[in-house]
Amino acid sequence: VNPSAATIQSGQSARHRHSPLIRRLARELALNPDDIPGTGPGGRVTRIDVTRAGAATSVAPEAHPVVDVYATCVVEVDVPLSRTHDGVTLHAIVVSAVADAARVDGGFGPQPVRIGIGLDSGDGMVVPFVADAPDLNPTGLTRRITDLERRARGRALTADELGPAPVTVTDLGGLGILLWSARPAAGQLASLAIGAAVDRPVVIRRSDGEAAIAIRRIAHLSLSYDPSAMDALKAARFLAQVKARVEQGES
Amino acid sequence: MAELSYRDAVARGIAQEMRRDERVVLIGEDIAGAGGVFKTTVGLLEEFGPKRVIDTPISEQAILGAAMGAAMTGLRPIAEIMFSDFFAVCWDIVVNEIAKTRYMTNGQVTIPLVIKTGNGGALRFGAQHSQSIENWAMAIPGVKVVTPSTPEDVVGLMAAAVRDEDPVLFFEHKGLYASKADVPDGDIVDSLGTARIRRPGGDATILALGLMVSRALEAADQLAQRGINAEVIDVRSLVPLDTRTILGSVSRTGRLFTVEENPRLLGWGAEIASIAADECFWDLDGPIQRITTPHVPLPAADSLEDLVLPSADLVATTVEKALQA
Repeated sequence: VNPSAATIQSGQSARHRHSPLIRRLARELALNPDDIPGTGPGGRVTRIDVTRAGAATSVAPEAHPVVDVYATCVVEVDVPLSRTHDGVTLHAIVVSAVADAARVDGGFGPQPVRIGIGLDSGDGMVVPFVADAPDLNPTGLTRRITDLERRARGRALTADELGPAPVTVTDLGGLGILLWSARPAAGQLASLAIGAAVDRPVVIRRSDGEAAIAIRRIAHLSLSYDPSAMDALKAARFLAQVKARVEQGES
Repeated sequence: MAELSYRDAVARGIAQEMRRDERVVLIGEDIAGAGGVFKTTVGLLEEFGPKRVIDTPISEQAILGAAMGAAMTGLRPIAEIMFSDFFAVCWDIVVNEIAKTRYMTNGQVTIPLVIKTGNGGALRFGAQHSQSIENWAMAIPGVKVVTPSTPEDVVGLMAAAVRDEDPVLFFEHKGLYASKADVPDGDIVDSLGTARIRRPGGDATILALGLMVSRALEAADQLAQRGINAEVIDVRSLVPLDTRTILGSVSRTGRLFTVEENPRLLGWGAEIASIAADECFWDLDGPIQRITTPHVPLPAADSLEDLVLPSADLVATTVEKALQA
């Protein structure tokens, strides 16, 4: 036996032993120290290595942020889709807001994204998408969505219109659903759920500064998201952007 | 605030307490007329007179016997053992009498006594006049043990020692007598049992005592230039031991080094290493390492004494090597 070879071997195994500190930190983070890449001398796992590995596995809380939106413009709530007196649907207003919000900071980037439209085909839900939502105003979007729904019921949607969309907006308000959440499908970033626009007593601030109770038409919007694609903060900021856009012109 | 030497700080601390409390007396060889063989008691005879500043014959047993009797009967003596090596001739009275009387009288008799002594090496005094014996002292239950490293600490810890109800062994480092530093004006009263962080750092904890504190700080400067941020703690008090400060630092840095002037076997760092292994094991990121004088009597030759006492270079090299292992 070559004694120097034996020395080198034992030296190497010693370097890959973990110190008590590393073993404790790994145990507290439920990690196996053997699985942590070491950046210390001779590949030793350091305190920073464990902290880094811990941060990578840490899980931020998932959330389902919900907001109220004023939907005073909505006059008809007893048909499948709530409509304004111009016939514009709340669904189209929200899709328009989502399309806008998706392109600003805190959204999904500058490129327009396809927006999936959850619709009742009469035989279950189908989700065709709108690719050019930013180019359409709520009136145009209402027309588009109404056309999609009509063809969904007639089973006339084409395969091209049913491809994947990163964001889906669905309105179940016509069924009297007040608040619900729509878990995004695999591969989707987020899914926004619209509840029924109903009259509620709210406290408002009158022009003379006094508080008063008034009747306002209110709908709940809730956002569900893929936690691997965004965190609760980003989702909440995005939903706040949507709310601000829906409420433009409301009071 | 004025600059003061370590040796003048000893006299200032004693004078501060003698002015405050007339029960405080000073007794030892050559401490009165000569002002101390290391000039640590200059001016005290002149200010307080021969009844309170008392020269003795060359007999360490007699000095400590008289001091113990004085303490038992109501005085608060400060006795000097000129070289700490000479404790070897008076351990019986220190270990069996001074340290145990409070226990053996069920607390009826206290021994509020300070034994001050010149300790440590680096002055070419040879094997019988250079030893660091704090570790002998800390092995005795019933005495407190302090080792100041700065003039300010000398004054404040001397005051704390005089005011304590128990016997305190006060180790002045002979190699520090000439060192100088700013000391605040007015009375200074420190606390026994407290360590001081002299330099904060997050990569390693270096404990040092007496003369070794300055060498540890110099080593920390060298290490900083190599990207290692060492925390230097002046242990100051071996009994009681400030484990809160020491273990708190070890838990932060994960690495512990001791710099000890005493010979290796059973040095004070061995006890602290044992405590750290007991109480901080799961915070340790590597072996505890002690940097000590080897287990040899101190040589008299300059070059050999320099070789055996821990140097700043040795401390820096040892810490760097350990952190890169």
